[in-house]
Amino acid sequence: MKLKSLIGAALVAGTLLSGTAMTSMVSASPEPSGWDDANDRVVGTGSDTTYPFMQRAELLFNQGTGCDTDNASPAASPAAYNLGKCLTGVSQTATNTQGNWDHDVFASTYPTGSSAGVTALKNGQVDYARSSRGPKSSGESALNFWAFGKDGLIMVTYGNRTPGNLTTAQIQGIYNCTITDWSSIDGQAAGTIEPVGMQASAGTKAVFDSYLGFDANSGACKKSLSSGAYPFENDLKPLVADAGISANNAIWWMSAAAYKAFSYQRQTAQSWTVEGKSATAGTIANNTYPITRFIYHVTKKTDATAAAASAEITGADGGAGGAVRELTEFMCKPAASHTNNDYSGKTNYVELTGVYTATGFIRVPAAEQTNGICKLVPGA
Amino acid sequence: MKARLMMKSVAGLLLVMGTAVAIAAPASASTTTVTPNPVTVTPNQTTANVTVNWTGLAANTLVFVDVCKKSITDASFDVASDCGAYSGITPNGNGSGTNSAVLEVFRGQDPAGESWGCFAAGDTAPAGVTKYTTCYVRVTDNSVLNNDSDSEQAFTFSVSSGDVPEAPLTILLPVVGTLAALGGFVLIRRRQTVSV
Repeated sequence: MKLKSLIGAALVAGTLLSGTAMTSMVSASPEPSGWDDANDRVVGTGSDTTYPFMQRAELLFNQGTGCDTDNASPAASPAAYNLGKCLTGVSQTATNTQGNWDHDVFASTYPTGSSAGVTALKNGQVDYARSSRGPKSSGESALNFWAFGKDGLIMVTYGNRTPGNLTTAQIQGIYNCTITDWSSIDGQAAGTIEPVGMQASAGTKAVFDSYLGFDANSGACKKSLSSGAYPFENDLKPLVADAGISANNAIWWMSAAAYKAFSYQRQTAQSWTVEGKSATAGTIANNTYPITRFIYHVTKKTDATAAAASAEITGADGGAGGAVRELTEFMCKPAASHTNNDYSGKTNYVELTGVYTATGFIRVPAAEQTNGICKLVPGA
Repeated sequence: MKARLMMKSVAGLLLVMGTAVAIAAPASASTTTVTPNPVTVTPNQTTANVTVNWTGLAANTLVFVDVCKKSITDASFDVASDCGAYSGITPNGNGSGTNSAVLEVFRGQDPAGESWGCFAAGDTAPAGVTKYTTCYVRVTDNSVLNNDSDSEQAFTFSVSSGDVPEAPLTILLPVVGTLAALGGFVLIRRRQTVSV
């Protein structure tokens, strides 16, 4: 009897304990969110202009504080591979959900151009895209464009030409070949103008085309590299090295941010004012400089979206899509919602401020923000 | 023998002194000045143009001119956190490394919306905004992150007693008086012509 009672008590206790354990096996990750306790590997591609920014921002996100991980030796069976995944149950002591809970890992691949990146995302070949242009008028209805920064396009010359001012009409005239000699521009010494084109997939070209009202590569007077290819944006080195392009007569356009941030790409380029305005952070912010644009982190709508004026990002609950949702929130949430970077002790908002400064971009001005500190432009 | 020894000692001393001076000399040879300074503003004026002059920058290299809340001599200075994101300019460099540019400085909260600002002594900063009554114009070359060539000039705001009249009375009164006299003269001449 005594033994039976003991066995019964042990059974009850065992059942209760296992019940407790079962309850504790429920994911420790905070819900609702994109977290799923698994450290996904997530890949993006696209813009050359935003490549240095995203690499740095992703590094901060990858370093983000998060769950306690399973650091036991990997099991032989791939199905039981838990190394680096979040611990569950009572073993999980972390509570800070403002960083990178799952320890997801993001990587930006080498630039392919904004449009190529957006197409790759549409085709499911990558998990997100980088774009320095906004959505096209059609064909991108499954995507969200999250503007996280602002930039301008500047006109540059190099060689011995001293920069002055250009009007929009003059820039159009140069690229449609109705203005062909520098002597037509105030204060300039004579010389045949050589308007250099740009590779077709570049968002920087799409924005410039939109400003011109026509394809910048379409004029009979336009120049390409001697190989016949158009140069990638923002990098003057191939132009300087090309004997077929006259250093003293060439003209090109660049990202104002890249021009400021990367002297090796800038080489000896010098910027012109447009309509009497310099492309400063202030004139880009308040749109008094004539050629401004946003720069975008592009996601599938099913992965990351938001209600109007809401800073709360909704979408996928796990996997690479959930990770994209969380990176989007990381980039768009205001200062108060960030936690500290484990390596520097500064908040990730301050760390991101450093990324903007190092790469030449500015944050989206308050008047143009729609969701958190970003501007959401849904694709059509 | 003694004279040679002395000469050697003096040469050695000079060498040590020279090395010490070379080590102590700052890497930056640039200088920056801001004019006018203090920057005079009217009570409601939130921006003002100043002329920034610099010398000693690298020739033909892009110049970065920024408004900062902290001096570059502060060991914790960080251009990303301590300078305004919307208030800088980047003039083209020139052949001499000496030039000037007009910079719009702000009075009030940082235009980028960060929680600091440059204020006149009597100003009240908005809640949550740290008030700096001394701000700095920092100038460097090649990259905004370049701390080797940078120099700065502290500046303050001085608030004038009221709005400066668009045309002061000392100018307006004589002009109006002259016009009235001329008008009277013309009128008299026309009357005389008509009566003849």
